[in-house]
Amino acid sequence: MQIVTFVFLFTLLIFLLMILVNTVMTRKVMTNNAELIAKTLASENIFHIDGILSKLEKQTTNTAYLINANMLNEPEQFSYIREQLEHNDEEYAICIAYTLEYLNRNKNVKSRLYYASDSVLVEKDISSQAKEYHLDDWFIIPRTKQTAYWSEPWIDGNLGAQPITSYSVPMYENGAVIGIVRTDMSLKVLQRIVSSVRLLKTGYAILLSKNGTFVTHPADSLILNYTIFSYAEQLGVQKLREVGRAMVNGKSGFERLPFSTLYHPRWIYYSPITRNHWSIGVKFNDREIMGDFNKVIITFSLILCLGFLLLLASIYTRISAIFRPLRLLIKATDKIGGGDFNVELPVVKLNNEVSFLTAAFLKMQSELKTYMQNMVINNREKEKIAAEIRIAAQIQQNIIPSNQNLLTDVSEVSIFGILEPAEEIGGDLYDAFMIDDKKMCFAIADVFGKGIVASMLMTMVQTLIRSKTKYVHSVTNLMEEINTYLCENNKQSNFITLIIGILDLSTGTVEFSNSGHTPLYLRKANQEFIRYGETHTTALGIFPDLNITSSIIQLDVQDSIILFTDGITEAMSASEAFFGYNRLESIICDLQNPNPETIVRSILQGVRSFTGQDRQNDDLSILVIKFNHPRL
Amino acid sequence: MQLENRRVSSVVKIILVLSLFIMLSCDKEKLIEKKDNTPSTINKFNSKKLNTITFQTQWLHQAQFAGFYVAKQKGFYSNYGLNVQIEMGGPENPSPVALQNNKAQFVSMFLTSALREINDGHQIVNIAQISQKSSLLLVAKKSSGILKINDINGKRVGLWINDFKEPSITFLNKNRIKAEIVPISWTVNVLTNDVVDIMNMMVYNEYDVLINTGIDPKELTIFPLADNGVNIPEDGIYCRKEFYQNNKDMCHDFAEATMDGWIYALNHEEETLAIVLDYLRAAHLPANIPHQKWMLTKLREAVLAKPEQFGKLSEQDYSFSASMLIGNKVITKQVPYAEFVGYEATK
Repeated sequence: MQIVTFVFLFTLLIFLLMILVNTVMTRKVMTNNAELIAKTLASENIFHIDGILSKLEKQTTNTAYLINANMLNEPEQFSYIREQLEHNDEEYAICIAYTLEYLNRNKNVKSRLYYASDSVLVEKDISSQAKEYHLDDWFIIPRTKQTAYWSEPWIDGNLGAQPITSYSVPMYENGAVIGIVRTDMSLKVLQRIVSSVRLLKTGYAILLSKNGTFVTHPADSLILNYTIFSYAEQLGVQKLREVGRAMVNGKSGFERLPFSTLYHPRWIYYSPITRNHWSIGVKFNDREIMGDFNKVIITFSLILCLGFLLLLASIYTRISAIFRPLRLLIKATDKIGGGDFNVELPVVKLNNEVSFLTAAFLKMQSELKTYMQNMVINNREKEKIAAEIRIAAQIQQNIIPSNQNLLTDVSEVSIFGILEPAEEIGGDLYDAFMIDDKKMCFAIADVFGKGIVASMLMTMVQTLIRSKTKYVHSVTNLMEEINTYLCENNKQSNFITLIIGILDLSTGTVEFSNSGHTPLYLRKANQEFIRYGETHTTALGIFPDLNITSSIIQLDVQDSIILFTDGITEAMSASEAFFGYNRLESIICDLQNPNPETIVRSILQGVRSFTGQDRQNDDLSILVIKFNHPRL
Repeated sequence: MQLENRRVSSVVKIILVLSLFIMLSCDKEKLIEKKDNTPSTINKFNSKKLNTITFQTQWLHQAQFAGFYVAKQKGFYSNYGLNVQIEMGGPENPSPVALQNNKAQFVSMFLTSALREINDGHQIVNIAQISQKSSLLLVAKKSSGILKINDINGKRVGLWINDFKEPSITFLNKNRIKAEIVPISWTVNVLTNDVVDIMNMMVYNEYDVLINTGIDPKELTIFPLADNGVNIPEDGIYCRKEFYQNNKDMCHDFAEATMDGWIYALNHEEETLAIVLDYLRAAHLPANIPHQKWMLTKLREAVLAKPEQFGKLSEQDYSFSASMLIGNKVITKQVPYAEFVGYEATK
């Protein structure tokens, strides 16, 4: 899902950026185009209006010249003006007005206003209004400035309620202004031209007077009531005031206004009508300019959104198709991990990495299953063998005489032995038994190796010793017999070290033979000891014809014979040091009035302390025989 | 019917009390106390017949006269038993003339115009004073070189030809300015076209018109007369002395109702503007909302400039104004304050 989201958002971002860049660039191009159209429209209208104003100016100037130069008598003046008004639709009225002073000086001169009423030219004497009109803009301004003047829109009460604009030209006498010739033009003339301008659906043109008064505007309530500045104030739009100032100051420009309603499009192109210092503005709404493009963008965006949703859905479906078997595979893996090797793996119909993975997993599952089956069989076998070994060990333990049974009824000797195999079954043995009513045989042996083979051999050797002593009472002969037997029957060529001794209970004499075994110690009652390290032959079971000798020692009462296997002396500490003879001898020497058991346990404890409780590399066997008294 | 009238009376009283309450709670400027709402012409009030009288504004309909329109529209006049016809004055129909011709029983007039009328021998009485401060300005374009008062010397000063020019002349005389006085009419185009260098303007009217021709205040030098020692109050309500003496109660009622109208107008700007615009439209005058709003705001400053003497001309202001005109030789004679006003002086 994260991948899907990431891909979706990233792609969406790229497309949004594309749309944004496209929109900005297109908007710029379309706005430029609209500006060009607006500029053209404004220029056309300005050209048109300028033509009308120019014509009116010329005719007014001509009239002023003719009258000023007294070139027309009264009837001619009337005819001339009638012709002017008849042939020039844009001329609404003509006024020839003199200053109060001039009128006072020339009683025969009249100020006259000419206008058409019901297709008849009316000539009105307005001399009596001189006191009022000489303060009117159309009179006082050109008179004072001594220059022609285009008036603001105004209403002359003599002409009814029709708003007009007037062009006034001064007349002079001796350098002083004596009057004004004024031609009025109905504002309708200009309003018709400008109001007909349409740009797109809602774009329109406005005509502002020099004071910024709306001469045309789609909202009638604004016309001649508002200036662009009071309108800006009502709307609270400072930018509109700035645009208005640029317009009334005769500048051209293209501005974006910060508001938009039906009547207040955002863009305005404005340009001056230089002749009367009025200004034309062409306003249009960028929403309209961008209308078609916005439709395209909206449609495009909708399609894009739809496409993205489809893309999202398909990616989701596809990813889900891939991940579903993967999820099932994960579940199956968990089950396999839990030991269920028969779990059914998902079937992947598609030929992709997941199907390869599933196939590999299937193979692994099969091999794991076989392996586990084999392991179960092996374990079963191992358990069987272990069980048998346990039985064998039990039998072996049973073969080794227990201390309770170790000649406890023979008072001349006290015997104590232990055998602690390193594994379940060992290769050591010891034994002590009576050959006849005087002689006691004892033996300790160490079979090379450990485990089953060693234990079997040990069992065999013990059986041999016990059976041979029935008719062979010489230790050397016993050794030879055992060696011969082992050499003949020991196919694995295992060898054995052995001490066999025969103690004559009546004399305390001991004959023993050592075939490669660890030394025999004789501990005296006074804590001294004698180490008999000499061996009488090599280990048995290797060479058939050995020359075996023996030694004889004489025991004193309370003497103890100490026998052990190399598991004692070669016991290894954590630092891999051997227990050795010195430590053994030190224990033997330090014992006070010991009996066989205490000797055995002291040695064993010494070894355990030395190696640590958990470490045992080899079978440990100790056998101690104490001579208590001779048999009488 | 009497009961009905009483009910109407109660409603009006409640409205007035409420508006007074709102006024008191909203703005310090509105601290105007109305001592007595009871019409003195109670006998007429109780009778069914209303006294028809005519009031004429001193200028074209505009927010300058909002209190009169509101008093009529809200029934304050009829509540006082008056049926008031409001006529529009203007340059071609000056209110002093209407008063002398008895075309109107009441007119509004500048204090200076009233003093001039008396100086000219016309006996008139101030029955209420609406404006308590001067709203007159002298305004110049900085481009004319006028930046301070002395710069006016030698310049062309446009002053209205018929009326309202006395305070400006007083200002010029007071500051010993020698300038060419150019009589002008009522447009600001003489200033924008440099026919004059400086001209009269009312802050609530021509000044805003000028600003709405695209000129910014920073491009102008303005001398408010109120700040230059010529703070002569302006609009007041006047009637002929003879009429006053014969109809004192009616005059007081008209004054009371008009000032009630002003209280209401200043406290209900939007509603008042709508009423003013109705008058403008009916008279086919340009209905420019922001301009009328501006005017009402400025009128508010003038009407509430001295709340303690709301509706009345103080003796001090009268004396100051009269002596200012006499001192500057605009008028030569005056009448005592008590004769000039139709009410007792504010203590």
